[in-house]
Amino acid sequence: MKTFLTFLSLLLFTGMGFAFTTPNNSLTEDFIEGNPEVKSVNALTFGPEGILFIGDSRQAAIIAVDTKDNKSMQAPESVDLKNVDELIAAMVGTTADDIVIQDMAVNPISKKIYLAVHRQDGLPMLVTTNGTKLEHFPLDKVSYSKSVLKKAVGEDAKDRRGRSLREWAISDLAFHGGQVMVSGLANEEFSSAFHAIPFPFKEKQELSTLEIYHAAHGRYETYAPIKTFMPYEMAGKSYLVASYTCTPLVIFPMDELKPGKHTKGKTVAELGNRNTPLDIVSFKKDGKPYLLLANSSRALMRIDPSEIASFDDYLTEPVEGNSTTAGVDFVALPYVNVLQMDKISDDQIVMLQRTADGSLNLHMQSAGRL
Amino acid sequence: MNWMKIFFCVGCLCLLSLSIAAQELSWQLVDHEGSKVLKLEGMNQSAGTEANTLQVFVGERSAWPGANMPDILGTYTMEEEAILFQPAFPFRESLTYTAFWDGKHAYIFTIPVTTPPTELTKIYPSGGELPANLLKVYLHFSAPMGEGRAYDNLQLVSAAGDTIYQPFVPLQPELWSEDRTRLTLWLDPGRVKRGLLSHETHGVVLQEGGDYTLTIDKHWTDAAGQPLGKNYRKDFRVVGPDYRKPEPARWTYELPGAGTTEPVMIDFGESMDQALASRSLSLQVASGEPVDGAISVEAEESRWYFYPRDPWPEGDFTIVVDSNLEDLAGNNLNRPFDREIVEGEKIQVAQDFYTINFKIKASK
Repeated sequence: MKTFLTFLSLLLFTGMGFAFTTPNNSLTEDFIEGNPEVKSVNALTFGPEGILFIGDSRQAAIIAVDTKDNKSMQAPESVDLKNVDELIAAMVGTTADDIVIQDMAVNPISKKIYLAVHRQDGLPMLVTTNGTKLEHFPLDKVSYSKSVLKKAVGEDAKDRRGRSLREWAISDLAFHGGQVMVSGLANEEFSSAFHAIPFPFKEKQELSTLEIYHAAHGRYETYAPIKTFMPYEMAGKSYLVASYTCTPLVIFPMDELKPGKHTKGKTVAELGNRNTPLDIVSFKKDGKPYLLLANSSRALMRIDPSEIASFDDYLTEPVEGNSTTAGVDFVALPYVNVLQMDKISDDQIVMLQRTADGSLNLHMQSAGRL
Repeated sequence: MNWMKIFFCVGCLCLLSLSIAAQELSWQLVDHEGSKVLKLEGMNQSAGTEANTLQVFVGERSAWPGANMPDILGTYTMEEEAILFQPAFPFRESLTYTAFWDGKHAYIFTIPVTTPPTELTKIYPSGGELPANLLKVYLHFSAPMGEGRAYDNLQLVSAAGDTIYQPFVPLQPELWSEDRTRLTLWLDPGRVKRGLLSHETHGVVLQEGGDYTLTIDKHWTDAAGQPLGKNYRKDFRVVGPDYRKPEPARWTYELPGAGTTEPVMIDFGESMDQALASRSLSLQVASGEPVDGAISVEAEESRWYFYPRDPWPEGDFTIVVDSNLEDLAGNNLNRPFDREIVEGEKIQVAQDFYTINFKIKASK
């Protein structure tokens, strides 16, 4: 997941640390002890101090949980857990085909891996790694704070049987610059919602809901939902690097994202058809930053962000001939069926990958191999 | 000294197993607050104080699977001379489990199926002719479905017998309603959108003039883990794409006379998105108060009816239409699904609502 801590944001957090030196003013000051009644765990991302943000689509809420997992550790020498779905299924009394892993996040402090899991009957659970073992992380008695998104997108009209079938599925989550950023897909209208929620959560808070358009080859523009995104610093400026459900990679300068504004993204690449992006992370190879993009039907892609920053061509010309990709170049890496990724250190990535024999494995790759 | 300790412990264990063997263990599945709980009786009380000596595993097992296999998470409660094991996640219907006391004394049990099979009740759009740039399909079920396996159980096949590769965006999380009785599917928007490579090089998912069948597989399991049990299919023909946004000014109306409970009818002139048509329009009196009544979307989602609870009085009424209302191709009242960019053209100011005013007059 996108626990993206640039040097700048680290400085920011450090700054916050200096500003709030008394424990009473900590980020968890307003947290309450108890059961946040988590109904689904669709997206995970870590903030500072071991605070885990859970995107709960079913109750349209972001739940901040103080994991108390804040003992600083080095990244392990290796991560190699085979048949993760079978092990989790055994814990929740079912078979591997009854398990869906929704998201994965690495705690940047303890380097523990957190997996968001659903049984097919919808029951959610969190699982963490402990060395070579998996452990259940119970959510019924935790220190937490909750922010509900539903009201921000309008009270839902009910059908004549008093049911509301409309829902917002949280498609991605990131913490950046003191805000929790959330992208959502509606299950009725074809639209995109993007929220930036200041953290710590306040009882009454201003939400930014953005309408995001992207242009294709200078001819058409479409109002489209974002599948996965990542805040990113390029040339001293903050951007949102986003990938749509239909694979274009688009960037938005953060300072242009304003509530209610018709913000048009700069399409920097089309990464192939019949494909849906699954996840984006950043890492460093030989000290140089790169982006990694996991896809539903294509191999893992490595992108050089300096090319994005200097890419001025808005894909204004229709693509000629039979080419299937366009825009900023990418390197296809020999990893297919990577379902989830996160950074465990600057130059190491943990990935959840379905191998050719059908097993679902959790393993770590260092930058040299990416 | 150490040897003595070990000898003593081994001795204890032997005594323990003798006492267990002497007493008949009794296993039972009991109902507890709506779910099944495993109850073990007959073990020696002193031996049973260590609740973790009772372990439950998935599957039929003749021997304890070893420490590397996780046992099922749950809570253990001591009750007089019994241990109750309540799984943290309810046992799944039709699955078999094996419980072990002290790593042996296996008890194999299967959870009975009690829920009737779930049925697919409706597919929207309901029409038999759909636009080439169709954006969404809704599947309605009689009971909550399982999540996470939808795309493995759907197939779109052309009349020539070709299976369309990945016609729906394989979104995770899947777009279910909160009660998981309705699933929203998106036809690949990358191939619907003009200008994108997917569209330009692979063309649309649905070819104009083609006949297609959507098949829903009988192996798809519901929330209780039970398969649908039968295949479902929807046949349709593809007509030309729709790039125009719906315009309320072009809709036609049928108005009832005062004193009747006949419906107000709007004819959209095209099929609309069923979910949005059912909730995007509301009927008010002139002062803004909503009129009590029932909404029905019929005629392949091309007509909207409002049936009043009480007979219509004479007077002025307003229908408020949320601009989010979409047709089958994702064009809404404010904007078409994709818009051709024209240099210098001003973007039309989006409005949240459109209103339609009408008068109910005395019946002739």
